[in-house]
Amino acid sequence: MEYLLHILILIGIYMMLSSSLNLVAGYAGMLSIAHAAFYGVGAYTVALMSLNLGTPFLLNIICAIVVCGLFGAVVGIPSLRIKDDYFIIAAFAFQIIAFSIMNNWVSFTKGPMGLPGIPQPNLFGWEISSYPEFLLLTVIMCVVCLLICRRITHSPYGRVLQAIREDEDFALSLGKNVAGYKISVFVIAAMLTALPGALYATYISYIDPSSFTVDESIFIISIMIIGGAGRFLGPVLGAIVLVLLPELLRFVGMPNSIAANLRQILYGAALVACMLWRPQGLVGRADVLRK
Amino acid sequence: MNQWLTVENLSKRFGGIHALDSFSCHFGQGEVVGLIGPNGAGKTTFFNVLGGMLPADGGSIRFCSKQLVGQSPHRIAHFGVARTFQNLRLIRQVPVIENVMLAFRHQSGEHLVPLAIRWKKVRAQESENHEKALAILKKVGLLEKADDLADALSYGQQKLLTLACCIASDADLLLLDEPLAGVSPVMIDIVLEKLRELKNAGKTLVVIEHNLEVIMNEFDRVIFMDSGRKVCEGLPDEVRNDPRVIEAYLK
Ligand SMILES: Nc1ncnc2c1ncn2[C@@H]1O[C@H](COP(=O)(O)OP(=O)(O)OP(=O)(O)O)[C@@H](O)[C@H]1O
Ligand SMILES: [Mg+2]
Repeated sequence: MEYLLHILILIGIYMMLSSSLNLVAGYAGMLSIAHAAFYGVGAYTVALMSLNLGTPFLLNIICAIVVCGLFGAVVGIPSLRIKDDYFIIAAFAFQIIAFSIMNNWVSFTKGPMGLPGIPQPNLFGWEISSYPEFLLLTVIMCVVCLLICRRITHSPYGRVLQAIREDEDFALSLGKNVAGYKISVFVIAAMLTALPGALYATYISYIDPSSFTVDESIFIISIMIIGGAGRFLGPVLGAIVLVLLPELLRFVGMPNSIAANLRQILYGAALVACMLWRPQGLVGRADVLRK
Repeated sequence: MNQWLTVENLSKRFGGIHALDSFSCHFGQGEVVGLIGPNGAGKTTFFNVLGGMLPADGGSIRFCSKQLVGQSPHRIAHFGVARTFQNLRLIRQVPVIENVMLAFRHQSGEHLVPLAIRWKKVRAQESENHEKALAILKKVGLLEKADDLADALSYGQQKLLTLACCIASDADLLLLDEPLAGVSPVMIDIVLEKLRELKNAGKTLVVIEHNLEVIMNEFDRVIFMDSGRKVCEGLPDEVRNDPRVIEAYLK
């Protein structure tokens, strides 16, 4: 039972991560490889604040949102005003730098040893400690995150994002401030990663840099693409499928050492299969990723 | 003639090519002006510079007493300048009606703050715009295609759709880059009719066109350019019989 709840919590975390990435990559067409880094910034902010300052969970989340947003602005503003090529490089650089800081600034982040003993969250006197309680917290966060994503995508703002993905010059000629949209959506997506970051840090109660690597970014991207980039439900479905897939392996009695490697192969195979047969993803329209 | 839009000594170079070479002209409000000239004359470049898509190397463009040179394209569009592209541009993977709705100016739902705290107002404006978009599509004869992907339209219909976007943007100045090229004869009549309606609505149209019959019949005035320079301008008849124009086409 606990195992099942654990899987559901993980699914929730990846739903939030891939749905927020979907705003940037699926709707606005800017493939960012820094999503795990923002996720890490959120998780570390919450962990460090609650460990060092003992501040309440809600305040930690709010600070994490602000910090993630600031980093998003620092990465996005200079690069997105110039050209998308610069953005791709800036995002990649941020992913590498953020990981290096988590890994090497030992006096602050404890480096590869990670941060153990992160206190369990307390929301308005509600002590969250058991699996069902964490699942409830996950559901609440997920609903908030998905509602925000939906509000954004199903609005004139979201329509402009799609226009930017399809044809920037056309959007410009219609008076849309393309750079402004790119920067704002990138910052929003970065802010949203604070939610899964906070959840992950307090739920596992231990974080180390290995959870926020390039591989993790690629995994989040895979969820979005396999589920269907540029569709609201794409990442939702993708998270369910990709989190469950390796668990099924374990279910058929695969030893853990093999299953871990097979997982990577499986994700790769799922991506390739997707590219071959459903490039638009499980729920996507055709041709969204054409460019 | 009122000086509604004045272009002075506009220059644009691509390496050694003078795509615009001290190009000057003016347009009065409500005019329909044909911009003609041989291939490579710099017509499209003029639109690109006017719309801010390309930075000018020199010169000035005054539009309703605002300087357009140096402004970003989205600002210029907000001043009331709309354009179509020679190589058709549309948002192909979204429905036809979404293309039109994208074109409306001043949508509160395009900004995050109203999206977060004035959702009711955003929704109300959105449904209002939906009605307006349907009316525009009806006007250009694309009503039954409203929910199809823009990509599924024929070439001529796509050109009509870009015109519909211009109408939706409610711009005062429309820059149309070969709106008739590649369009079937039946469709040409429809497009021309829409252009006349726009003129009657008081819009100013600058149209790049090659078709002589259209030039003679539809335009109030014609500007002939070659090698980035204005060669001559005047009534369609005058320009047609100008020896410099005849020479330019023969060389
Ligand atoms: N982005 C660009 N980079 C380099 N050269 C360009 C660019 N755009 C246009 N040119 C050159 O500038 C000149 C003017 O081109 P432009 O497209 O304005 O001509 P045009 O009058 O629109 O011709 P057409 O009737 O063929 O559309 C041409 O010699 C063209 O090769
Ligand atoms: Mg041209």
